[in-house]
Amino acid sequence: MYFKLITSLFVLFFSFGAFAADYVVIVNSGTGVSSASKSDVKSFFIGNSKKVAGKNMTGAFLKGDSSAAKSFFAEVVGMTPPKFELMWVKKELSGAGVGPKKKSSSTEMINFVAGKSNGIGFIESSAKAEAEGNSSVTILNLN
Amino acid sequence: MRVLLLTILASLTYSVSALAQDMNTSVYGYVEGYAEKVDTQPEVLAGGAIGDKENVVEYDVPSIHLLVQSTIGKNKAFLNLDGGGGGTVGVANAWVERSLVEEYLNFRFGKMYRPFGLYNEILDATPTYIGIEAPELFDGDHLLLTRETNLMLHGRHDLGDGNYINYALTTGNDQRMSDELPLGGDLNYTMGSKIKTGVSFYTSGGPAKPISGGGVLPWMSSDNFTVFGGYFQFTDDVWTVQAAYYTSDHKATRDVAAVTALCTKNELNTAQRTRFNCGGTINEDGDYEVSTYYTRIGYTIDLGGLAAITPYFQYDVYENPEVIYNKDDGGDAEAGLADDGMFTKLTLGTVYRPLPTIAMKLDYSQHLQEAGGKADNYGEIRFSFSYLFRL
Repeated sequence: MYFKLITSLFVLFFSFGAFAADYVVIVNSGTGVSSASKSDVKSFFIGNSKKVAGKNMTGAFLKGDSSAAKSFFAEVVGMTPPKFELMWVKKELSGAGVGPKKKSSSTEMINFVAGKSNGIGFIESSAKAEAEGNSSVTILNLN
Repeated sequence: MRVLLLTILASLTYSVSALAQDMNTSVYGYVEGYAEKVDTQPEVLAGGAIGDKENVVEYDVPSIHLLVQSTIGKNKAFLNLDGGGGGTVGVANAWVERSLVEEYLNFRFGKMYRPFGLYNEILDATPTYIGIEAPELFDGDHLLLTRETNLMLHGRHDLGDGNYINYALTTGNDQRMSDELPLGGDLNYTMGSKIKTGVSFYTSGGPAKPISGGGVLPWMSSDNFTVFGGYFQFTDDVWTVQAAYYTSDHKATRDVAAVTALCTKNELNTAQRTRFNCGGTINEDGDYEVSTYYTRIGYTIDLGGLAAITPYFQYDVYENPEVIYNKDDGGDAEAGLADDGMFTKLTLGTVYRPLPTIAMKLDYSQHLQEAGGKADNYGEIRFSFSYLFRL
């Protein structure tokens, strides 16, 4: 009984840890934005707003089979990565907007955000140091 | 109208500043392969008798679309080239748009699909929705109104927490005979990305003429008609539930020569011959009502990675007492087959998506109607394989 309980707590602890810390949201430093609400970021990624923290942004997302994408879409956007992509395909085919660009790695995402004066995206948390080492990129505090 | 044009011109003058902004252009599209096999089905024969029609497997590429969307500042352009059927390439949509008052009011101009319920604007997006065939509301053989129009004012009002009221008002050439003002509209409420519910309406604004792909039957000399309906959608990561009901009221006058020709061809069923009064003086009073409703339910099962499979069920009902059977004469082989113009279609199927951009669909439908005084039914199986790409 104790063994089961400890195992469950162990699994719960690690799964929660993996879920909560798998992604880091980054923006181009030139935007001057350092923090934003989750609802603001969600609103931007699902196309309800072109702005995050009052600034116009151009976004990108990591491909859906990455752990960062899974946790970002579950925690911030509130849908699965395939549902997110389908939603944008539907919008694009009817002319209702163009979705964020897809990036296949955190390095590619950092380069995108650094090279776009109003870029925003998210990366694997393991790539946080790489982002912090790039002066054109700011880690966004989500609240 | 003049006020509107002046407002737009004034707005365009200010758009010069937008030229300094980045132009963002995307090119994408998709191809769909399609096959269907209809069971032996009833057909209307000479003299109105009901016989059996044998069908073979049919192959098609109903959807070949290349789309371009470009934005700069408050301006947007959209092009949707349609090579459906694998023959000539046509322009499905080509419009320009400008925001006039932030997101509250936008002006769209050109050739566009009108916002009208859940499907009209996304019918080209076959890979993204459950089902292969359009709801009967938008079946090309018995449309309630034109899918396209030319001018739209639209916008939305933010209610907070991701909830919006969306509105659109449209007009265009549509099916007008001269200076009528056809008017369409759609008003809906979206609650986050999960719930969408609203109403749509259309009025021909006076007498309308028959054209291909419109809501006026080819044997009418004129038809003053309206369409009204409502719809609901719930969607989350697992469930998709949709329902809609539409009705169309027609104050129409039949073209005696055209109806006489139909009567002479002798391919009408008894109810239609009686309705037209084929044996005597042709009945010019062509008033009638169309009604249709559908329910679509899908349940998505995550297969790991990005793959998913979605079994679905669809229930469609369509009733149009005026339409005839022969498609070559502007008829409809479904409603036109039924004695009372009413048929029910039950569909079971599944969509398999190895990736969000690839969809393989397989479904089977049963059509139920009364033909030749007795209940009849036939089946139809379809397969669709579509692939979305982006440059």
